[in-house]
Amino acid sequence: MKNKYKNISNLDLFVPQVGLVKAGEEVLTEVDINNSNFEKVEKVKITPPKELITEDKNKLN
Amino acid sequence: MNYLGSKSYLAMIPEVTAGVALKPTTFCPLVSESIKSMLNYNADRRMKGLDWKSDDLLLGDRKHEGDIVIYSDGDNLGHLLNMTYLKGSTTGDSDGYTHPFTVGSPKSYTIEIQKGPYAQRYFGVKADQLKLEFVDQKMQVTASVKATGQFSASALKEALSGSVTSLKLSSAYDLKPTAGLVAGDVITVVGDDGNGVDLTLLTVDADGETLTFASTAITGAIGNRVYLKAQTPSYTGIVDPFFLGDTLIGVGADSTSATTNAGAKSTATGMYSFAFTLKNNLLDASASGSKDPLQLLPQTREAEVTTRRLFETPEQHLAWLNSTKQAITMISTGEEMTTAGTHESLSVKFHKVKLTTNEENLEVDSLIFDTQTFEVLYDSSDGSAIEISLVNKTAGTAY
Repeated sequence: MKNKYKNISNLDLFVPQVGLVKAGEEVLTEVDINNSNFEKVEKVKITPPKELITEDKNKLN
Repeated sequence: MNYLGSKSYLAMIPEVTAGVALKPTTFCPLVSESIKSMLNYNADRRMKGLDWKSDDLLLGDRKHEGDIVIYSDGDNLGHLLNMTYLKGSTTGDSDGYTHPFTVGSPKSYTIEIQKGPYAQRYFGVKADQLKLEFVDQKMQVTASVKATGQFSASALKEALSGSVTSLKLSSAYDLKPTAGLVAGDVITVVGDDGNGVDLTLLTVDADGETLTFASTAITGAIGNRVYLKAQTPSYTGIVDPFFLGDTLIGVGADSTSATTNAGAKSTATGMYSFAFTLKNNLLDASASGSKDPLQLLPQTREAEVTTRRLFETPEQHLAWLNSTKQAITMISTGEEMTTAGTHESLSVKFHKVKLTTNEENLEVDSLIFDTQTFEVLYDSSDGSAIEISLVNKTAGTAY
């Protein structure tokens, strides 16, 4: 499973098996990054607002 | 499962309050490391009616010390100098910061060394001795450090079952077993099923034994292992160390003339080997309030320079016989940091040195060398023994 991490330091950092992650940038990786210069970016499930969920009028019943 | 030492890291961070651990954020590639905790166990020799020496061990004065060896690039050398000497005000900008170091109270560090899945964390770390030498061209620095405590592994004091938000560590090692842990650390608790559960610490309780974390399901018996999970290292561009070939060493009657001589290859002295050792002679005695050294305080400072250069005249022999004052300045130029041509650099000025030994041994087929040992002395006229200036890419705030 891939996780997203953000480099929260002000330095470009090289992480073994991940590569170079520039300051402030995010990286998607299978490597579990346990490092205080990185913050795990929690996955946010995006649900469209109700008014945008419209019934498909063309759908055949 | 086995673990390769080459995958281990050294991580460092200067402490705000000496002896109070922080989570290290600066990672440095190691050449080797041999720091160890000495628990000084002794056999319990109380008369318990046995015809055997003892049935148990009792703790003695705990010490934590050993060597860190790294290649001396400008950025990482700065941290080792910072735990040896006093850094003054940094000048410059991201095109090159200049950090002056003088003899004075060093910063205390928290350092972490990876040992497979866990990290050995030492806090209150200062350098007792710092040796710089050139090994096969490369400047190598060996910091002999001492620490006021460690955290690496512990055990559950109470059983865990179901969803829990806190745990207590065993006091078998220390009455305050959580010393060295900080909020944000990731610890691994080995559950009864043998699997490790990673927990990110929210708080380290003031009682010295309780750790809190977000609600997690764990089943673990008393005595199950709890260890500090090794971090994933991150490096800020690993640059080359300083090289002997890019180092000019000037020798003169005083520091001004030595520095002038170090300014050009034509006036510098070609040294076939050059090394120096700075010593802090740290007080690490045990005292009430801690089973580890209560604090690490520099005592009398001293330093020694060893060199090897071609013998040309009896000048150095006479300087040794007459105990003549000399001065040495070493200027090493490192990697180019900017396109503008600013280089990393290390300048070390020994204001007053005198020869304690000057050997001119003869070997068949070989040119004669002066193999020298200098005692570094305090120069009353300059008001200084040693001055160090380091130019690198690291802002002063990192130290």
